[in-house]
Amino acid sequence: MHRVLRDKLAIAIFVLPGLAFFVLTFVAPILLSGYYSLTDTLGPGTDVKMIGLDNYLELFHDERFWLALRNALLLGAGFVILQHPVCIAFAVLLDRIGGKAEKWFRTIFFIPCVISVVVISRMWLSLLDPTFGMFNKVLAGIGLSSWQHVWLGDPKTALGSLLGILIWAGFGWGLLFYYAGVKGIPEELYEAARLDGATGLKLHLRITVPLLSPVISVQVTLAIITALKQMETVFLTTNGGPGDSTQFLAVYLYNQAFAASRYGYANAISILFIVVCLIATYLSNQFIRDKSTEY
Amino acid sequence: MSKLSLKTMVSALAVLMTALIVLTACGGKNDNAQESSPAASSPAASGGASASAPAENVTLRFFSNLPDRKSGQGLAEQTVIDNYVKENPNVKIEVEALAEEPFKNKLKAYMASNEPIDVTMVHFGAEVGTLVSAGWVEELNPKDYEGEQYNFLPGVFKGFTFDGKLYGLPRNSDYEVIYYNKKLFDDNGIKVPTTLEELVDAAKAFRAKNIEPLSMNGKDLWSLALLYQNIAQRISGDQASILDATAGKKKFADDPALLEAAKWMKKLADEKVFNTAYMTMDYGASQNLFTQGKAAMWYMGSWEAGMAANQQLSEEFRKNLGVIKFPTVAGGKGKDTDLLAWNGGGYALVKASQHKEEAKKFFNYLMSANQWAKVAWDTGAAVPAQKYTLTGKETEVQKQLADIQLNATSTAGMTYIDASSAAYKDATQNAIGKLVTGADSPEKFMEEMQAAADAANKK
Amino acid sequence: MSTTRKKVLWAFFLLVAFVQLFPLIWLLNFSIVDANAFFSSKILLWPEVPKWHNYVNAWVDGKFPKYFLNSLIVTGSTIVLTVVMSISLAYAFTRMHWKWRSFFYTVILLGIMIPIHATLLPNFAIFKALGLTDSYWGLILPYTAVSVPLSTFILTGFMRSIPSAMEESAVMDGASIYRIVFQIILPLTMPAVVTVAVTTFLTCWNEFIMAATFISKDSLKTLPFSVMNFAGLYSSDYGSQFAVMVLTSVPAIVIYAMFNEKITKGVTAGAVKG
Repeated sequence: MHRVLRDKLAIAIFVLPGLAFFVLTFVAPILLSGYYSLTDTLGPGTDVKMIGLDNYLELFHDERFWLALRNALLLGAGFVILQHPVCIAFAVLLDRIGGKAEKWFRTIFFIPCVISVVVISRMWLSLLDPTFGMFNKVLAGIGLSSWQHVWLGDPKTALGSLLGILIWAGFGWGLLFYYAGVKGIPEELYEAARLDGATGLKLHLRITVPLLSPVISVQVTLAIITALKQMETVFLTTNGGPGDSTQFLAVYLYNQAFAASRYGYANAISILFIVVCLIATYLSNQFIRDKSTEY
Repeated sequence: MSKLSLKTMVSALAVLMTALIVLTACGGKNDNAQESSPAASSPAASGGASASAPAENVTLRFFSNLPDRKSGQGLAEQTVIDNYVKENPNVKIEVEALAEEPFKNKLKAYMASNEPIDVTMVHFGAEVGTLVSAGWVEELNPKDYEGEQYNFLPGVFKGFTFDGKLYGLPRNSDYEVIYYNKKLFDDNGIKVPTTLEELVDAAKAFRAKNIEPLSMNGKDLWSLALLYQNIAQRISGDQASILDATAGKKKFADDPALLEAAKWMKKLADEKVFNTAYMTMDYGASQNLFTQGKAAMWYMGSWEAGMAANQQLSEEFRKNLGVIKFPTVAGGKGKDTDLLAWNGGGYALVKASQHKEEAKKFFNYLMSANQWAKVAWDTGAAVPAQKYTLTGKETEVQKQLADIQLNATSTAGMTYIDASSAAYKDATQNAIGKLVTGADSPEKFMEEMQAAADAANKK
Repeated sequence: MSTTRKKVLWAFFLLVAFVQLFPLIWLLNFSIVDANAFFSSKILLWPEVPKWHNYVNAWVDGKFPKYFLNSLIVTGSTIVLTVVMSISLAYAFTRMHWKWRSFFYTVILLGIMIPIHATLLPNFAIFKALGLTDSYWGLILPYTAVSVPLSTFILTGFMRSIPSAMEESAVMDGASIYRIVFQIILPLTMPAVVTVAVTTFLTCWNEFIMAATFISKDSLKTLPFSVMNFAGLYSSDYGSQFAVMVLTSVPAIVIYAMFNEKITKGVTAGAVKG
């Protein structure tokens, strides 16, 4: 290869700024977190006492931590089982409808994705409000009064309602990526499969899904990370409640650091949080890779 | 992402971990670095003190939890600030005001970064306690605040005193009452409750009429905790019991009233006494439900006296607003004149201030009996922690509130959630949330309370 | 596809679109309703006297113009920085030859997985120490840092799909590496750059937790935070709250409408290569 492409100085100029940013906003804070996680400090500036691994030991017995992790996994499962198949189905249908409609619907379905999370959260809080919210009024309007419910206020339905809000808000992104994937599948493959007698769902299971597997793999991994990282929507709607039923790691750590003044402990949560995210990414990659090689 | 291999990921992690260990090893050095930073700011402060030229322009930073500057307490606070600026044209006061929950979080962030705020609002107990141990707030001399100029009521410094030292001054006399909508009671022929049993009956009657009984900001949890403390006192007649258990002087199980009160909480939730969506309601939402006439009652503190004078609320609502003492419970030893009272909100001086002299001057002005206390009372915004004189122009609600305060037979002085560490507050508030939503039984709730107290007192 | 099936599909899509947009329609509707009328039992209602004053409240007391400008400055700078950095990184990762290439690529990609909220607390202390809080940089820098990993990932994937013939001839002609990247590669990767720019725009424009933690000066605050602040200010006036929410959402929807086609093209061009 050409010498220009081995130019050390150019490589440094290209890579170092990005790397410096990475160190400043990821590595340095993580190191600092790691340090604080070994202390019992109330916050930077207060007395710091090294307590070794006590925070981590406590964390392993902390029900709320495991509950938060379980909720994240449930949410992730919700994304994978509910949102993604629907997104794929819509992507296929969108591709079939063609013409102006394809463009129009693609545009409309994406609109919730551009709305700020603050607006989404406050809007849904109002929508689901049992006294003036639209949701229960609509239920009453279509004769389903018995379904009226305090969706976010009942521990049994809070997590599910949250999933609903997040799917509403994120549906467009999933759809867009799968749609792009579907567009990349050559029509001849469908023709060939049709000649073999495959139609409808069978056709898609045989052609669309396997050919989408690279997109699915990336999207599912991102979905799981999104579920683990869930923060703003929860923070602004239920703040982990009622009774921890929508507790998530990021919310829990934020509240432990700020509300409970357990800064050292919160940092121990941070460190485990990061480790969990990395493990989840790795596992989902492995799992999907095994799956996709079957085809 | 599918390009990630385990090997590269592990090696990347290994680099991070090595660096982590190195940093931890020199952690001792970090401590010193941290401690020296507050000291670094003090020369600047003393420099400001020596320059006593009157015309020197300063801008003070004031941090508040009252974002609404046009009515109620926010207006009162802003009025005092405007008064001061008028009298001291060389001073500018920059107000940063956030709503309650964001305020609390931001305060911790400021503490962590040793932000040079000059005067800040603070909450008593655990919150000031954390700020004190971070060395962020200035110690005050209680002797300075005796006498006519300030006119503080006796015993109001309790929540701001740590190890015998004073770190802030209270702005209000806080006590829990039930605000109610007279019209909703009259129109539906429902009796205003004087006992918890009657409260449950009233709630059922309101439910039958499709009216929310008692509005409750359950999402914030602290109102539920106060309600619990209130009920426990009504059963046992003992204001100190729950505070003693919190301080580790006795066990929660020693006082059967505490378990009984937990059962009452569960009952109130099960009987749907609280508004339907109470667990998603924050302060503003629960207030709206009440002020819009959709809920018959609101369990809240005396600092909401200003509702009666708030022009933004409908006249019909203001006309029908009443206050009742917290109900008693059948067979309980507590009287309705026993008050769950404390002094929660207040102000403190910040050590990192760059204009200590000017900050203190303003702080003393703010806390003078003829400033905050007078303005707050005269505008009907709050019941101050200082002596106030009745002007005769008070609203009916203010008179009722003053009456309740003056006739109190006993006061709690503290709320249990604020009487220990911030971690205790968080843990016990979480416990009460689990209790009312049915995730924990009253018995399990008692265990959680005990565990939280044990953890807090271990240190 | 037969016409009847297409019609059914049309109807189905219309229904879904309606259900999906209905919350926003409701928001828009009630933003001109008086706070006292909120508790009516109607699902949608056209008030006899639309309360346009809610928008005056939102515009004036919500300080919309000021926060809008701040959002614009922060988001604009972040997009430029992110694009320049990600292009450079992606080029170094795909085309250039150096020893630690795959290692550093993985390190940068870890940035996608690391939750920003886990680093929020220490970050605040670090930024404070560097004097970066309470300035536009206090938001631009972390926003850029958060956007770069995913952007680099998208651009790297895209660049791999571009044949290197054009640059090779440029290299032969003796063009400098910087000219190659910014005059030859940049135009070629334009679809992916637009995707990156728009995703970055949406993340930064709507971000709130860092904006709330890092910025305290009112003159530097951004739009999402103003929604929160306004909710405290007008806690008893849902109509005005809704108005400020609508106002905040409009710019993002306009930007989206403008770049809609380009986003789809960018994603279509890059996604398959995941």
